Amino acid sequence: MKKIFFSCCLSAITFIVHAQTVPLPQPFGKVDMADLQLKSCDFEPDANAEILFDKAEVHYELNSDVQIIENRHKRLKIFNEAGKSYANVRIEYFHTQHFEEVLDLKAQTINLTNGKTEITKLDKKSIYVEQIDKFRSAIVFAFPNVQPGSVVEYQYKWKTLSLSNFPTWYFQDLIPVRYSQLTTSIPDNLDFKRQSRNRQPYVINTTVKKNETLEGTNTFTFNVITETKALEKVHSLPNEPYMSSLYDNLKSISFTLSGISELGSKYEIGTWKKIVKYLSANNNFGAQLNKKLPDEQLIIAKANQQKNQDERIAYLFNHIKTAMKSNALDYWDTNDGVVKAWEKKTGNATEINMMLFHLLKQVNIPAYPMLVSTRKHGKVNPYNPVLNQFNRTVVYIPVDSSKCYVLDASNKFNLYNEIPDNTLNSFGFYYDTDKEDHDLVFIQNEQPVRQACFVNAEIKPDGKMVGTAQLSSFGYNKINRTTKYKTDGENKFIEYLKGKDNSLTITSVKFENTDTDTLPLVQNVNFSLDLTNSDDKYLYFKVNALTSLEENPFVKENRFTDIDYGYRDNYTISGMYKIPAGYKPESLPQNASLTMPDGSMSFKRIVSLSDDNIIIRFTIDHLKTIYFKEDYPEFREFNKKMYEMLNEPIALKKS
Amino acid sequence: MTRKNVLMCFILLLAVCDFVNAQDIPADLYKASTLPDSLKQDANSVVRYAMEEYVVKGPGRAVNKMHTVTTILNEKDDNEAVIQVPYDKKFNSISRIEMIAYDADGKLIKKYKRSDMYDGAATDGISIVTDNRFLAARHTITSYPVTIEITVEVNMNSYLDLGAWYIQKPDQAVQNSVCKVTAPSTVGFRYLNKNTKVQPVKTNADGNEVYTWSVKNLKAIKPEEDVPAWKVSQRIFFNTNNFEFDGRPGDISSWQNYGKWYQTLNADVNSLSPQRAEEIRQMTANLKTDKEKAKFLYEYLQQNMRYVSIQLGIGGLKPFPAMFVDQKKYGDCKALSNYMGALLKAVNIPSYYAIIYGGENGEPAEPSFPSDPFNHIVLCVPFKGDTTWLECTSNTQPFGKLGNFTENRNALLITENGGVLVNTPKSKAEDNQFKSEVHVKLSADGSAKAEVKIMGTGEYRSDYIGVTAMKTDDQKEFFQRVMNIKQPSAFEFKATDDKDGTKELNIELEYDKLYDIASGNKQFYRPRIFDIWRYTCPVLEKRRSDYYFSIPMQKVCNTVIDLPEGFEVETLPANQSLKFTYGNYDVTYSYDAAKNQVNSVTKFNLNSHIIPAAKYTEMQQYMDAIAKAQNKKLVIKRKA
Repeated sequence: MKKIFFSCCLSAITFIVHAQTVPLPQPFGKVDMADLQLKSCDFEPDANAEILFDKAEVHYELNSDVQIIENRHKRLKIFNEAGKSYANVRIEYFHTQHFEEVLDLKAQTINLTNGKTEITKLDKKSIYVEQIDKFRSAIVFAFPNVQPGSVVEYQYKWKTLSLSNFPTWYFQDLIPVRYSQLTTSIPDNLDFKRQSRNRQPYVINTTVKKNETLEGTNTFTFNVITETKALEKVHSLPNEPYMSSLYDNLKSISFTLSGISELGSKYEIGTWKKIVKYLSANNNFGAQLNKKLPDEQLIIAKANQQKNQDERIAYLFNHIKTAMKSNALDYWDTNDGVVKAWEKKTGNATEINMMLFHLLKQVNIPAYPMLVSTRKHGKVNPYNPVLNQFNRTVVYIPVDSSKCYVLDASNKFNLYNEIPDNTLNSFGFYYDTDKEDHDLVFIQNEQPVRQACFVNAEIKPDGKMVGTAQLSSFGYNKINRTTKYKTDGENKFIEYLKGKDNSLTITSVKFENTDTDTLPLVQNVNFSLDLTNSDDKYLYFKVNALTSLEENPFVKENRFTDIDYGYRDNYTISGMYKIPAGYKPESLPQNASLTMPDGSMSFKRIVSLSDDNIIIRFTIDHLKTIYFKEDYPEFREFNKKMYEMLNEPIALKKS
Repeated sequence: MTRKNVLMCFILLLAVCDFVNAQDIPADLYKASTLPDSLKQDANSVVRYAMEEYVVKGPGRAVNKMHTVTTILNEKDDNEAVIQVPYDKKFNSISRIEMIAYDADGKLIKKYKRSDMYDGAATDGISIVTDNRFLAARHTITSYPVTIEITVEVNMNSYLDLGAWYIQKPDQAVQNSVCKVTAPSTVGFRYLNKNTKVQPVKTNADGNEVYTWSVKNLKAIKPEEDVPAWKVSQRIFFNTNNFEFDGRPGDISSWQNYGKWYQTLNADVNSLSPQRAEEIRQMTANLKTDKEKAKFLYEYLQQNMRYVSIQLGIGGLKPFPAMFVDQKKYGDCKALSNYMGALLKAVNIPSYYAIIYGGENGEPAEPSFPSDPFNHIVLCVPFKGDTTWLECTSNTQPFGKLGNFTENRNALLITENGGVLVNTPKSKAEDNQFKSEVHVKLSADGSAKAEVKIMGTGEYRSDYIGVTAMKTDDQKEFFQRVMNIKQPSAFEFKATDDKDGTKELNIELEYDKLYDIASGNKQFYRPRIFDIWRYTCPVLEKRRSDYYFSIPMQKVCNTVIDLPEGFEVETLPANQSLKFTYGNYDVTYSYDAAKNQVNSVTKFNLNSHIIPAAKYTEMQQYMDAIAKAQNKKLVIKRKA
């Protein structure tokens, strides 16, 4: 039997914080009248419900088993009918072998009825346990007697039989959080890497050190570090166009165990160097990297016949990409193993890319396995050497300071010469399997990705426009359009180009370079367009038909996350429109240009008249890949003006 | 809404068949090369062989067996390589399940056994907890064609409806498919054809009736959009006159008898305690008529109770007791309808629990074939000459209005004499009105202010109430996109009313520049703030099925545009009057020189939300003409 003795408090540190302005959490059952009378969230008045506070205290219990215990207390305010759904609660946990448990759940609804506090407790019989699958369960309940104005609260103890399964804390939610506080007490011989995703200042940020003694066969003494962090007035996180991922943006703090120091000796897993060692020795990683593939000699021989390194890379990439099909599972390591995946012709992305790595090495290309995190999985923090930041392995081939290949053969529309867009603007971790060298690289693509649209059309006096358009899609635009064309077929692709406009008829589309990786996808379109807005005096036409640039995605007034395009783009629209006899332009749109105050985005319109032709040219250029939410007002205004100009019609007057 | 997801899942997800040993299926059917070209045309997959069997052991007890061999031709039907079989803890269990994948030559690639499958809790997106589960596995296809063989056997120990045979899926051809039902003659087996004329061969053996349907070489059919699946899906419904559910025997040979079963099921849960009943009587004591009392109690329900769906065991069919709802203040559709019935009973107003299919443009039950195709409950109050329907899951629906979730079909009323199948109200255009008044004030520099007032009834009202639950920023975006409002420089919502079934919206907009084009002394405008009708439909050579909108409607918009001082009209858009068999669009423009105002009135009426296939092209051209009419411009110029 072990016992823990607490001794005196050794030291306490308080970091600089913002003064707290909202009420602090109260004990279960004690509710301020002000909260019962609250009509709306003061920092987010259009919220249907608000988390008044969410509070957790997490500590270790070192008895016969090591356990992490979290004591959680959450209180919500329901403002209206639509907010009532937040009074349905679901707590999921891993039940296998009691890995996690949820205990001592208490919940109650507090209403203000005729000026008096009325408490309705949750009936134990109304708590349901759903077994989600072999591993997971959920505790589910609905609060009783919920009305607009109700305060509901619940508390429970969460327990895990694990040293390292430390819960991630989310300060933010889909509704506003008035106050969120996490207290963690961790013995100092457990070295945890903390990853904080939060730019908002804490209102409480303290650290207290306490000495503890664990008595057993051997008595030993250690410190327990207790940290408390709190945020107040955390705005809800909406889902916004071009946000990187929910995971990157939800204000949170996560903990990864990276080392344990025991009795003087320090066992450490938390450096990139150690990670290389771990990966090299791992059966599902290092051991898989050089697995010989049946029949590989033929492929290698064929690759060696290619003229140069670039073509060898292209050949092997395309060979694996075509031969293998991804099973859509994402892990940084292998699942069935490379050889089994090769036999079945299907595997996870990591297995597929490891085959590619192996073959590249066989033709002496300096390739490295590189762990990445896809956009949805969240960005990698290079200062946090933990593997669960990654969810895929790709192949990295540096060429020189400006050029590299990042190969992911698991998506059949990826190109060998384009860095996969779902890995951009995050770090990749690669290592040299021969020398065990390693590094982290920021994966980015600084080249603007081009899209060009060239229209040559003739306007007929009967209010019809007939012409051709040549659309050229480069890089990611090519990948996206090829994916659409090959998955949906030609008819659907035509519908995509048309929008839902029945006045536009696409009589034919011809594609060029669908299977040539180094050239843009060219779409040659023959079209006719009814100028339906024309009347007996005027003909009108717009010049953004076929460009997919009609609707501004950024009409919202507020922005809570950065706009992350992933890559830069450059869009050119050129048009030459022949004016029918008997008409002349009422006026031409003026030459115009727009730039963001910091020059990070520009738009130009150049219009001229030459004989019977109106010549118009638009260019849109994004010089950055990420636009900060702080710059959103300027960004939004830029887009508003740009879309106005893109949608501006030209009038021709009957003379 | 999810009264018995278990059964619905079976009907919708699963084509259930028989175990014939694999050896009985010709080896050729496992090979892609033997597929006739005629079946590949327009098909993403082909059912090579399907044997589906129902063996009825007795009322409420049956075995479903399914054995299928399907060749998948392309990635659009990758889902055919997914097996997903629902079951639950009490009424349906899976006794056998297996999936095998074969390559193009019919060589076995992989076998998925029960132990390889994911066993998960099923969610319906609405309920917070249910008993429904599923077993599932997915085969990743590496090259096409691939052939998938599926064998499933499910034991049912309770059912209301035996099930159905779904003959053909969209974009899928069928080479051979057989369905067989074996039922003791004592259970009263019967069937109903829907969108098909396939007839069975009937034999008798050992006191059992055996029915066998078979189809061969059905070519793939391309589906059409905007038609509910039930209008086109070829099915044969099965049922037995005698059934049993959770140990409760019943008779569904007539709607009346089926209603009696329900009446017994609910008998012990549909009353309030005497004390609560007395309180309810007191609450309504001052109201004169029964109708006033019913309205008061319906509003009491709406203000106090909330919809929470919990479906466990017989709780999937039997409501929570009225007193449970009274205390916890929540329940699902059946619990809330049952509670509403109990409130009315307390004040001596009779009402009927009404079983119905909920869903926009849902399928009505077939009067001649008593069965249970329902998934929802409402309440029917039979006031004399004024039958009143109550949707008890809604906190906002006006008293006595059902809406398009349950209109235009029938419902089974559970009366004291058993079940009675009656029609719910038909959707009427005048129930869904959109009226708006717009006042635009233009300034000489092209800047403008606009006040927009919208009044919506019926589904418009419901939609707008739904929108008000969104964040203000999202609401603004919603209206800009849905109504095609030009992006303003300022957008304000003003306080809005919801009175007497009309939801009012007030919007104020400001523009730096409202015109489309400015040229010398002229300005060109879109002569309105939003589009009253935006929809156009694709040009088709031939439409096979009727076209369904959500609702019929009446829309009108009056717009007044104040011209800037010193400007006058150069070109007024032409008046338009467009018609088609089921509606009309009219717009008139006039210029009041004295006030320097342009007035317009736009009307759009859709008198029926169902457009017969034969009228599709007429509708398509009519809607294109509306789009064209809406494109015309107003040109103003500086006075000389």
